[in-house]
Amino acid sequence: MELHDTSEIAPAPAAQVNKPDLVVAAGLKAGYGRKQVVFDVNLHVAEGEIVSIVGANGAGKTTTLKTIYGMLPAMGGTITYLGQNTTKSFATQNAARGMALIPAERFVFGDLTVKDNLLLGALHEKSTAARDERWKRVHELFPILAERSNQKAGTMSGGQQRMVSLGLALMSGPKLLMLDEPSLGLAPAVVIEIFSTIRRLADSEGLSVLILEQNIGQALRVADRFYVMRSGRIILEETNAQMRARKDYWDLF
Amino acid sequence: MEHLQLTLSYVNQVLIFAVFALSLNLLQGYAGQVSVAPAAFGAVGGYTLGYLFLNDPSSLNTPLGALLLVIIGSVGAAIVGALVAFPALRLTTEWLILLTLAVQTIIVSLVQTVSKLGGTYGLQNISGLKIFGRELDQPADMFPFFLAMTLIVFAVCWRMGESPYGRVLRGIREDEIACRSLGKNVFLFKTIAFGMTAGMAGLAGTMQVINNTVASPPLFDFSQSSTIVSMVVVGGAGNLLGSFVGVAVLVLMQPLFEHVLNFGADAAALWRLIAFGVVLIVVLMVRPAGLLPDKVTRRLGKTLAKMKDRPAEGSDFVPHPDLQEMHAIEEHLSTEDKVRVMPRALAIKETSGNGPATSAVNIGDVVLKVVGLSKRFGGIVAAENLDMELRRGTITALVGPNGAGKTTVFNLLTGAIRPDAGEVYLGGEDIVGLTPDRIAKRGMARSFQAVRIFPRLSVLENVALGVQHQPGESFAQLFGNVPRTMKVEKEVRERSREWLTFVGMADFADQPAGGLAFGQQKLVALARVLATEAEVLLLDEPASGIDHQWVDVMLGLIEQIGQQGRTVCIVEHNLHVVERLADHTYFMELGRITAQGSFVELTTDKRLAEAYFGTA
Repeated sequence: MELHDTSEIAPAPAAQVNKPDLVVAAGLKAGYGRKQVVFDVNLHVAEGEIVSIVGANGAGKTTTLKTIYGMLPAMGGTITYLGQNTTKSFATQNAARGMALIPAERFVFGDLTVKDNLLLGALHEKSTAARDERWKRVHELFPILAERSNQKAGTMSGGQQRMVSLGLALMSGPKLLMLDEPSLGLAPAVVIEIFSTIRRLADSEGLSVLILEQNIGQALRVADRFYVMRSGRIILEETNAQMRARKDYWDLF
Repeated sequence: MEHLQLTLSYVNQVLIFAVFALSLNLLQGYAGQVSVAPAAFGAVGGYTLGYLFLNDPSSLNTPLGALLLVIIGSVGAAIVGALVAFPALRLTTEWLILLTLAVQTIIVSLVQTVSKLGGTYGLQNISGLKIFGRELDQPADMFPFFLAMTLIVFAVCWRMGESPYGRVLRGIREDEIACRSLGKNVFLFKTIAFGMTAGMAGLAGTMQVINNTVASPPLFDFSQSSTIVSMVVVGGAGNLLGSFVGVAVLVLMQPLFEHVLNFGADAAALWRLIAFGVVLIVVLMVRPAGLLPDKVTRRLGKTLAKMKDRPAEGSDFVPHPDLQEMHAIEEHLSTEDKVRVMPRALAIKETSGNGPATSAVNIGDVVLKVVGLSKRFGGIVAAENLDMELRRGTITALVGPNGAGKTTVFNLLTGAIRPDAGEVYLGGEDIVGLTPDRIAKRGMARSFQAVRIFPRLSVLENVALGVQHQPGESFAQLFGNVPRTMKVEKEVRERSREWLTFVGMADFADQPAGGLAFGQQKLVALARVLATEAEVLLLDEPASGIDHQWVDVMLGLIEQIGQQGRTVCIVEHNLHVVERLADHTYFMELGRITAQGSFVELTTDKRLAEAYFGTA
């Protein structure tokens, strides 16, 4: 077996550049209280593009994500999503308009069953057909969630709870999926399965994905483009091929 | 003269409520346990004093005089408190509120029902008390005594709260399970805190009775309790000085309206209530942590204020696509950061070899032996007939699909969950049935998948809680050999700092741990579990969420721990980590161990490769 395999799950379409941007952050400043941790971040994600932000612990990756999602107010700069200025939008509004964020900590409604957790994800979806379709997709991705449909989510193992929160996000049929360290605590085979699903959705349905990873090797398998963050700033932007060509990409941290 | 007596009577009231509030603050602000019954414990103290005095005034003929009754009343309240604590402390916050509310109601109803205690009128004419021959009659007579009592209570609360003991209490407030995993007898700590709080409330009760010359139900009813709780909240839970402020604000409202604004006594009482409500609402809105917030909240505020002037570390970075440049900048950054010294503590005591009994410590000896361990949750098999061995100086990995029961194994081994069947031998002794803290003390410590850091403790305090054998964490020694506990505490802090340096987090020592990024918290949690110096370390996903550079450091560290004769077991999904570290690997599926061997043996197994590793 090849542990250091970074081969892509599916080849990225070449024509990414022509697709319109789904989300654009320009000069984004963010932080907690008065403490600024993100400085003048410029990034964009096109429709159907998978973009990965890599960087060390505390580089400001999660803060950037939370700010785009509207969980943290921006301290400056603008965020444009679906052509509209969403800088001041709240997470509830953004969620209703197709953003989904999966935090790194496990996040489930512990006292609800797995099934109810997933159904909550599809709260904004009125079409039963679409809901059933996603329901099927989530169960294909995580068969264990079908088996444990009536179990309380809080009693599942740590890794299974991560599956529930991923499933919850997919049930919302997002246009922009934001994943904070998706490989954390999951079995290797499961991670590969998740990444190939994301790739498939990006290619076939135009899903845009923003992935935070500390493990560039994992991200290389799936991302079209990379941003490297350090100390709250983006210090580098590269395509998959450029990043792959580096022998020293670990030194970027 | 009259003016002085009036002023002093208000001062005395402040002192009485200060004793109530300080004691409650110890329980609520430090140990994180709620009680809405401080006045009821005051009733126990106050009525005890009143009853003993009226029944046999001659009992005051000793030089101690009423002081003896004060002591009896306080001790009585402490005992009642400890008894209440027994069932109460297993409860969650909501139930604890209800239970203490019930205690409040029962005690006050009880003293009203018992005719010997004066019914609804209470015990009257408790006057002419003497202490050291001095009569306690006028406010001016009581003042020195009340002041002395307040200072003593403040000193006791300070010693208990702002010491290694208080560090454990605050740890319990943040995360009981993590505290237990570090060898703290959480139940004992909570019982003592509850008992001491009740005892000091009893003392305040005796002061209240002396001050009023009666022991009556209204002095100790629920509205008094809720006032005391409000004082703690307004002043700032977790800050003892804050309690004085909270008490002063709420007690001195009465003279403010009555004497300064000349409202007249009745109107003033009503206005006082209204103002009290307004103050409470405003404080909770504007300063939710109270007028004087606790240390960590204050420190956080300071850090933020500093951040305002100085944007942030490394913000002078210029984005630059050129890697060469970046390296130059990086080198410019701290180079000392990369030098890591193994703390002295980790250098395991060499087995001297001159005693035959100790020479049995050999690399490869079975340190932990698990036989037939089983556990079911309802219909779900969490662990089924597990047999495992952990050998000294080796690293064992536990791998398998999500939900296979790996973390459950850790929970079973450390006593967090009781197995249905099977034995666990640590150093030859069966430890099944022991509590997590006793198992930790016997030398098996664990880390958690979800970190379980103490967010509102500083990074250094987090690690210090891992250090074992601290005299300052023993209630008996806390007030005994103070110089020694202080000396040891200095060593504990030094050693904690060494551990932090080792995991590269020393720069963050004084920051609240809750403000760190996930991976940084993970490093602090590792330093914390290493600080226990346990023989057997169970690490639940130690490398997940940590960036590449630090993973290397962490793996190097874990390797060193193994080489030095400690026994390590890891649960890990990162195959690089398992490949590099594990001497032996167990593969778990659906609660069973279905394969074991070297990492290569497992990854070349075709079925496992397909089912788990995803490499087929």
